[in-house]
Amino acid sequence: MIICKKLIGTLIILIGAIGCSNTAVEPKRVGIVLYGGSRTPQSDGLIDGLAELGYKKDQNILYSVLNANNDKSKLEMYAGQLIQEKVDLLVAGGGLEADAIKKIGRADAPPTVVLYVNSIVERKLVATRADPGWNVTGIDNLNAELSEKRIELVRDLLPKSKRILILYYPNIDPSRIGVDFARKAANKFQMEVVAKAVQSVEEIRAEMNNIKVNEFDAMLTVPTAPIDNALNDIILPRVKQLKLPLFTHSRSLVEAGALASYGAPFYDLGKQGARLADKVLRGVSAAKIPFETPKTFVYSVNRSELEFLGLTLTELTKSQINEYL
Amino acid sequence: MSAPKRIANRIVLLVLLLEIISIAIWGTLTYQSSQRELVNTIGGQLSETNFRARTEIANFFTPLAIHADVIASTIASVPMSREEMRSFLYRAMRTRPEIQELSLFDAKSNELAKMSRSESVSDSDLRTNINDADLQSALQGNRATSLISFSQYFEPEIRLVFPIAGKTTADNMALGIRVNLKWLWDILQAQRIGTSGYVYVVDDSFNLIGHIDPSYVLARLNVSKSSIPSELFSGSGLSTLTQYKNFEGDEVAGVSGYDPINHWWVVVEQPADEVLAPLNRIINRFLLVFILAATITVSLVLLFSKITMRPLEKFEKGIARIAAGESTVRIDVPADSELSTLITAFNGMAENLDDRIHELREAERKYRTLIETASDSIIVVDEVSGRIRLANRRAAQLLGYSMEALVDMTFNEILFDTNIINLMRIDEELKTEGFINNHGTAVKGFDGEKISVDFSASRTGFGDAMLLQIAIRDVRERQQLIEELEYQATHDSLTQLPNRKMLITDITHCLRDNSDSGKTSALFMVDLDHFKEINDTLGHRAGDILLKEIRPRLTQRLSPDDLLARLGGDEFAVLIRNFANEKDLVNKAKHIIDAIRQPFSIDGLTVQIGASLGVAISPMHGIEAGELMKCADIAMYHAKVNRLGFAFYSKNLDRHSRERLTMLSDVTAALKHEQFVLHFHPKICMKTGEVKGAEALIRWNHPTLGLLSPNEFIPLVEVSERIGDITRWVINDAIRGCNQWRNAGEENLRVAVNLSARNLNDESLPKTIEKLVNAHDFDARRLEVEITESALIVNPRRSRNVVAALHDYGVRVAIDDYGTGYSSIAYLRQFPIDEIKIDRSFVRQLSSNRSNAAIVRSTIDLAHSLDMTVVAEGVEDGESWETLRDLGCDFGQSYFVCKPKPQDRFVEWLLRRTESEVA
Repeated sequence: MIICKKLIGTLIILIGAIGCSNTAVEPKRVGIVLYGGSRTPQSDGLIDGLAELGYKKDQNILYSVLNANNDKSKLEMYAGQLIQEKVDLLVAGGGLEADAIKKIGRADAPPTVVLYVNSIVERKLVATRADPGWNVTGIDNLNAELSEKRIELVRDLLPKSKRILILYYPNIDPSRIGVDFARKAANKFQMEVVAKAVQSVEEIRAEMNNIKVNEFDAMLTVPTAPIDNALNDIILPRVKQLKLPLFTHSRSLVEAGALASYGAPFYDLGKQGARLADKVLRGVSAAKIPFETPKTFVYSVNRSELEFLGLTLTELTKSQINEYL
Repeated sequence: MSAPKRIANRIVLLVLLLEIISIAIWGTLTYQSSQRELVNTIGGQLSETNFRARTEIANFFTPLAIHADVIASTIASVPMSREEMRSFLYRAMRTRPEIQELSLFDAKSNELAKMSRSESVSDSDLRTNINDADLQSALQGNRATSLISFSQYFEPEIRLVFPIAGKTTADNMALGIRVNLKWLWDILQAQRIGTSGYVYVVDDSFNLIGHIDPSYVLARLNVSKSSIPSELFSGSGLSTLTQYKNFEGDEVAGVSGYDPINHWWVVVEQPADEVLAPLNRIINRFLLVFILAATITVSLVLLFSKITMRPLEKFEKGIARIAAGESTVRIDVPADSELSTLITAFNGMAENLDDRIHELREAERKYRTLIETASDSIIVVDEVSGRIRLANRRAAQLLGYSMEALVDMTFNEILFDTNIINLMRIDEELKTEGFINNHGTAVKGFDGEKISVDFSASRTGFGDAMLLQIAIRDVRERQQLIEELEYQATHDSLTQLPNRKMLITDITHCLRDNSDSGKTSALFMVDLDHFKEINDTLGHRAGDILLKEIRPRLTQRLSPDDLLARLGGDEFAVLIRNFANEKDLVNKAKHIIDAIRQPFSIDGLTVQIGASLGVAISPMHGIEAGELMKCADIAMYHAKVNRLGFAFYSKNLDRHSRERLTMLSDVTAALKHEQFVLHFHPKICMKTGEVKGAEALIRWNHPTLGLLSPNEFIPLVEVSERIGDITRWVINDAIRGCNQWRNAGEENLRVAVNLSARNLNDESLPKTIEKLVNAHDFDARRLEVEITESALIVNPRRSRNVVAALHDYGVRVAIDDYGTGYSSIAYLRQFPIDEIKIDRSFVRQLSSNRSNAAIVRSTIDLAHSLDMTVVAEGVEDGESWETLRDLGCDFGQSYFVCKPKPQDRFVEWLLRRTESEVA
């Protein structure tokens, strides 16, 4: 009789187990770490891109977005917090965020997708492009490498230009590498790149103040955050004073008053990153997906600067430009 | 489990089995039809996705081809300058972002222009590409498509080359377009197939060229070498839905489709478990229904069987209670039941059984009362099984078991050694004798303890059983008493060590065994040095504590075969049954002496004694116990007298030993007949060479043994009261001698006498000396006493009092043989010391042993810092003398300068020395 009672008990437990077996699929949890407001376009692109791929916000995907508001010291803490929350995927808005995630090196960290980064090997974010050494993939914006292409575009935009000024930080990898690529192109076109190493805002100001009228035909920026930050207050007023055309790597700098830029749009990079995030969320190891390059590059020209500098565009340049601001 | 319950269970299981079979048949049929339906549906879905994917590929390449045709026809028809050509190509590239690079070639394969999206291109970058097969094909008018390659960023690229027809062949040109395929792969991989399905692309060489996981593509995976069935890549259109293991080893369902333009296979796969998920839901529902039905069925059958089986269960329980010994069981007879007759017969049988059990219990009660009142332990054993059937409480108490545990044990289990006595032997003996009365056997207690008993056994009857009644008497107390008496007779009551009697017995056995085996054994005789002083100064209780401490110290250093015995007083002996060679014996002797020399702590006091040890070896020195002990004793006394620590017996020692025994009694006569003489050994200032005094050394001019040194008789006398008489004689004679030196002109010389530990224990000594000094009208400051460190620490408190009294009186105090004891100058500071005499062992190797030199130097420095003078003893040569002088040593005593001399010759030596100095 005891056996029969056990049998009934077992049958009741089985009913319960089978009844509970058809549970709903858990939504994916994505944690996004952003250095500051400048990363918002990438982040928006990612969320829109994932939505296009069928990830409905607050239904089958949940986002936890932590913005450090330009305070670099908070990035590691935010990354650790998201790991603690057991998110399925960590998204780094840029290179600083990716460096922070790598630095904390948590064994329980989920895979990471980086939306915007450059010089990934040189900055030691990955061991090699083929094998990153940890569970990460993302978009390499090629900002430093495109310095080569920018020299070509400067040549076409300003056919008489011979001496190009670049300010750079030697201890910032993309900055240094950008100079190398610019020199490579300048050599091809019998142009001269004068690269001046700076280490501080004061040195940027001093170098800019030392430029003489007509000493250079154009100025090119290489991806260097401190120099980007000095653009509004130091560089733009001085180049305007000198009537020195300024070619940059970022569309936002053209919006701020630079003459032209050539590079990948942030929003597009976010959407491209969504494809990588989708693959990872579908179970592909991030470490097995090589960092991608941007799908699109945009050549932006500031029309008012054109007029201010009195430049006339050739047909060739017009064929190259994607947009006028 | 009861029989009725077993029957009920079987019924339940049978019903359940029938239910399973019927539902299984129905389920299988349902499952098969559902599966067919599902496969058709999924196959359709995957085929549709496959078609859509191939359409996307066409949608990707067709506009590109049209775009290329437009570019080609424009270039062919519109003459353009080089600058215009670049502008045109830039515009062409701008409209199609997937184009990474555009190149324009002339008929000679020269690159006319090149546009790159991310790299700069100058004229110097333009190349001639004669070996480019795709280019040559295009220049012949054919469109060419390259194999997929990968960029430096591991991105898939394909190169398309389009012909541009000129008016003549020489005017032909070609347009090369490098296309980044990640645009296409993104489109394909965005295809949703259920939750986890995906699309991948294989070229016509079966190389994987596009997959959601690019690592497979970069690894150049060839699917023909995988588990994917080849029929997926054999048709010209869509394959049927096939279930197989993909190259990752996962079970999937897949459909492939051929793209004839690019010669690619597009495969759509979905994990099998996801495909079959609807089927699994059906199975789950089916199981749910089955389990519900089974639960209801089992419950109903259980209820029915419980009602019908209840009388049968009662009957079975009644039988079980009778079997358990409950004879009063009666079962209610159910009315109109199939079991009524059976239960009535059962109740009659139970009544008969009850009566019979009653009778037997009464007989057992009487018998039990009988054995419970017996004075011995009684157990009753079943002859057939050997098990104990009955036992009285006395037996249970004796053996340490509870009554319950004891009953049902076998008799042999309680016997200590069944080889000596067992049930079979008892049975045989009873057959012949009828009764057994056995003395001196043993039973085994609960914890395995041996219990010595006497026992008697006889046969008894109880019903039909064949039983043995065994009476057991505990004889342990008697036996323990005998053993204690034996122990006391052979052991020392203080140390619990074997005594002389047991030692002699063991030596005798050992030597007897040796005579058979040819082995050698040795006997150590150990006598403690200064033990008597401990007894005399600290009392017998302290002596006893020390003697008890000797046992563990020596036992640690002996092997298990060795026998340590106390012979009485401070004498011990060790029988070494086995040893390898004499070196072994030497090591063991040294260990024993070293163990005894370690300080003892007695009631907070630290005392130190020594030991002298004699060794005799059998058969070399004797083959009987008495003989061997005598030899070891002689060797021991030789060691003691000569302060050797230990000595081996030799025949030469015999003479001395006999004389030694009479020596002690001769001391009184020697004092009376003035057989003692003093020899004086000068102390010379090392800086000036002046004689500052002399040490008085006693000699015994023995009538039969000749001139004896103090080492030959002082240790014997030192343990007796006689030492006081000798000391008094020495001081008296030394003062007298010193006065004679004064008369001879040496007025400032001091004389030194040696005091023993026993002297320092004599608190009347200061008064004695005062009397002697006064008697000779002597200046006490010219008298010096030399005391060894070991003498001071025997009784430090009393020694301190005596030394302080002497020092206060003006007598100088010197520490003799400094460095041989364990004390330090810091310790000695508690005594009023005037002089340190460095032992000859440090002085002797001064020039050859650097550590000795360091010790001497530091001793001199420290002594000087404490206002003490330093005397070096035993300076053997001029070199040592000079070294010591250089080290700052104040005085020296040296055979090299002057040997100890009797008074008259010493005076002569003094006078001669003075004369030579004057001369």
